[in-house]
Amino acid sequence: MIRHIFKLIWNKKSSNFLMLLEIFLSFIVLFVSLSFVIYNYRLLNKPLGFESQDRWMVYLNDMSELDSLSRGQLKETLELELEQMDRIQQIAFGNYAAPFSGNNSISGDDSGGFLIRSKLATVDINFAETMDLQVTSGRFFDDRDYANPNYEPVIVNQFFMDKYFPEKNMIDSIIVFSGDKQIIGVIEGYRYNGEFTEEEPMMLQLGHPRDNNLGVMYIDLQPGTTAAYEEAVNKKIADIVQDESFIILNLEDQRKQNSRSTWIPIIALISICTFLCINVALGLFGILWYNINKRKGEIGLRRALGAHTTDITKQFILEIIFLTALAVILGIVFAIQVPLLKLGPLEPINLYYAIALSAAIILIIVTVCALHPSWQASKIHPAIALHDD
Amino acid sequence: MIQLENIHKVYRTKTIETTALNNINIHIKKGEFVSIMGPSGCGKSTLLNVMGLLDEPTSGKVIVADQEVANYNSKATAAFRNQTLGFIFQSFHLIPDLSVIDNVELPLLYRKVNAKQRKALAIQALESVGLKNRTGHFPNQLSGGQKQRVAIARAIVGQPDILLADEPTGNLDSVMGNEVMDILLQLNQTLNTTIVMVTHDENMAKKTHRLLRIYDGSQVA
Amino acid sequence: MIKNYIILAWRVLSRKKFFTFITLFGISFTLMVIMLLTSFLQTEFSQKAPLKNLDKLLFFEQITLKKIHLDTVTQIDTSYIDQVAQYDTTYTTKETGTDMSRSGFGEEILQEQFTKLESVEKSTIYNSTALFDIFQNNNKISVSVNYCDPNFWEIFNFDFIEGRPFNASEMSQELPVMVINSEFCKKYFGRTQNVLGEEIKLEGKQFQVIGVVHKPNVSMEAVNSYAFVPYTVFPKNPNDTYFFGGYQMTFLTANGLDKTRKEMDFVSSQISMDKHDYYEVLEIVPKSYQESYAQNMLYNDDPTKSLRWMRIILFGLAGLFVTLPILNLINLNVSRIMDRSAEIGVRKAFGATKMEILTQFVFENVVQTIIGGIIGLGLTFIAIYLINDSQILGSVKLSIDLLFFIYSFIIIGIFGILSGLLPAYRMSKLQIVNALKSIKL
Repeated sequence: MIRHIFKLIWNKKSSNFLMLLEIFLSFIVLFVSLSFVIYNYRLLNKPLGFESQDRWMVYLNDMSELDSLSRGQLKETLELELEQMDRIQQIAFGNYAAPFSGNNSISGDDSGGFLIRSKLATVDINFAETMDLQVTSGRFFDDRDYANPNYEPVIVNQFFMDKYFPEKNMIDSIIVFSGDKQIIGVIEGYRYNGEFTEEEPMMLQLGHPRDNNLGVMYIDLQPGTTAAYEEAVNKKIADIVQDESFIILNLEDQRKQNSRSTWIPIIALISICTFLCINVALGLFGILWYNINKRKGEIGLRRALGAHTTDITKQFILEIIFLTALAVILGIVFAIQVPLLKLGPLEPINLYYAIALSAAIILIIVTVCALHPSWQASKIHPAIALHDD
Repeated sequence: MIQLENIHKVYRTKTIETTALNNINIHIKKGEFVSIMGPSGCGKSTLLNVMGLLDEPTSGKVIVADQEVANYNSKATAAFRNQTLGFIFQSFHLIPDLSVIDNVELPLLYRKVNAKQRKALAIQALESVGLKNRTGHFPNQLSGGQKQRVAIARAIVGQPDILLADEPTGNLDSVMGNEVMDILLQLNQTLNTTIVMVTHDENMAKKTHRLLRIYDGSQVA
Repeated sequence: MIKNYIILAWRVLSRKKFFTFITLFGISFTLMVIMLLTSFLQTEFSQKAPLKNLDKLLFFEQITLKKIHLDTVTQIDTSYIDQVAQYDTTYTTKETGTDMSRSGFGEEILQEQFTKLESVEKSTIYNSTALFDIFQNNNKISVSVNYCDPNFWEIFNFDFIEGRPFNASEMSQELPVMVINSEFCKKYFGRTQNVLGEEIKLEGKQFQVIGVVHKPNVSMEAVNSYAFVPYTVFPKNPNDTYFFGGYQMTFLTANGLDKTRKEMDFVSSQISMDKHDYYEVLEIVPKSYQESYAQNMLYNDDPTKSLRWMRIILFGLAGLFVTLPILNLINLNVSRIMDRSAEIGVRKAFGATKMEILTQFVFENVVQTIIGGIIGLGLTFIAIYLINDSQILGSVKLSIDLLFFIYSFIIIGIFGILSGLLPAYRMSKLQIVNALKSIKL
């Protein structure tokens, strides 16, 4: 039976060619689109590492003209006064490598024998609690760390550990990275530029609120604050810092805004692909329906020669599935070159997923489209199909 | 071999009711070569389809090769058709996308015969109709007579007891027609195959054992 | 003859309803996708307010300072981002022994070096990075403010709902005057008219509204600010240096972009680096509107390369997305040939030439495509309405105008002819005898 079907496909190669081409192209379109979608979907599924709901971020105005003492006092006042407000739970400070800012601070050092490259952010001791960072081992910064320890304490993310010190417990170990650093804790992650960014090695350094570069204030709020409340906070801050040129950003809004530039192409691609699939499905359905009509005589004859209705259904479905498989295999041969030759920026695993998913989608569509016409074909009455006028 | 009792066949559409067959009673013995004649539209093709289990009568009893056929859609009927019956058509009904040998192998395919054996039997059948050297050709490369001989090869490849031929010479000139007729006669004599043939041609009909005449759905002789 | 063709095409369409549905579905959705893309490109890249001079503009967005040295190990790398009104957070990176810092321009270097270029008709210096929170009736309005000069209004041709831009004398007198856009106006005053003379308080200063402009449909950030004020009104940011600050510059070229680019390169190469105590090399890349757009989209360092990539991606995807439905339609049409073969046989038998058959079937297809196109156009209107309404594209508001219709119909025509040609050609080749024969085996 299988050989018979191959013969049928081969002998009709000229008329099958266009259909092959169409399925092949559908595969390529799906592959390209799904690679992008899968890549982002996988990123989306990794933990962001911090909480954006009911968090505000305040970019304070520049205080470099103040000396560090009065700057420290000012920030202390801010912290104290704000934490007394009824809906504010916690205050923390950090540098400008802040969530969704697009700012990056990256450093590299190979004096430890191999190159370590890591993103950097500087935060104070309240940061983990305010932003709900998950410390998986060791501890976060605390008061002790301000008291001139021997080594500069740092916190790294799990990805940093996995990449540079796999399967080692490095808590309290010293690494050479722009001087000696002591790893005191490991956090799950801190992908501060949004859920669609790659996981990268990340290192948190300790800063004190009085430092000038810690110009971003983080506020953890109780749920359900209103604009009026924000106005009150705004006024309070303005009164303390004697300036209005700061802005309060809602982290959740920032997160949404930030991810929108990725969501738009994803949604656009998915909707266009869905439409293309429907279009191709309807087209295939039509073509099959016509082909089966054209081959009514053949069907009648096969029935007369002893084919059962299920044989007919099977034949037509197998015919189209083989044809599809051929096109998909051809598509895979092309698509597989991308990860094999390392073309393009995506990690191979995404591409393999995309290949598998594209192939599955196409096979399912084709099978579903073939079911009805093939069933219709099997119902063709031999006597009518063979009737000579 | 074939026994039809009180066969009625009525075609109904929304508006009209057409009686295609009216109280047909036929008994055909094993090894008989029977021809059926009648004007266009008299119901001869319908009759043949009923004998071939391709069409269900509205009422009446059909017994083919000692088996009464009840359900026309069952797997058993399909297998029965495959084993017992062979068909030849006026317009050949060769599958254009399949080569000559693949066309001939077709009935064996549904009998789940293995490829090697299929090929051997098909060549044997083609040899018996004198087309052994045309196995790789496609139907559109053959003349009408050759096509019909391929069709006959296909009909006999499964060694059926009964051969049903619907105007097998209708699309052929007299030379080719005679060639085809000779093959059928020879099959009937050497293999004792029962043959029922619908025809328009008195000359062809005369060569058969018995002639049935149908007129307006009824048997007149 | 034409009338015959139309009647015939209509009959064919209404006879096979299911296939007509499949065909029209494919055509209309495909055309919708293409039309949406056209509309998007047209909105972003066509010359209209406030970018009537789009093809003649060159943009200075960022300046890069570099120091090449061989033995550094540690680098710090910060990128300036305009959401933040902090100019001292520059970005330093080391790549194979290069330290670099990239940021917006300082006002001084722009004023001193680039305001007197010969090949430039006009230029404007502006800073669109400031953001303020205003609380109004228990609502927070985040106001983006563009500090600019009077030339801004001549290079970017805004449509004024009422009022006027500020002028050179208001600039030099440091008057707190403000031009606002319709979106801000609506949010702040609840109306978009009759607000001239009203005051808005920003950072302790009362600004007088002297003009209201329509919010542009394009995504370019600098023209989408809520408020525009003379940059002399605020004191200079103490962190601004000669090279670095939050400023950008736009040039209206006089004799084409290339000439100005050359002149800029020359001027840049003459700038003395004595004013910086660390960096030794300066890099200023002027970008065209398209290059700047592509660079923002692809985060690529090289604007020319970005533009090339954006084109490849855009046209590649569009090409694939269009080829597939056309192929689908061709396939469907080819399958339907058999449906019509008897008809073709008869026509040929009675003397129709190959060409006439070809014309008839292409024509039929074009009729079909036009019907699909009209449905597609309707779908596009709905989609554009939904997209604009949901503000999914941010400040980009897709628009429909005459040009859009012209493009659309060209697309529809090409689609129709392409998808009809191959099937029609196959049909026209049919042999009479084969065609007339019943389609039985």
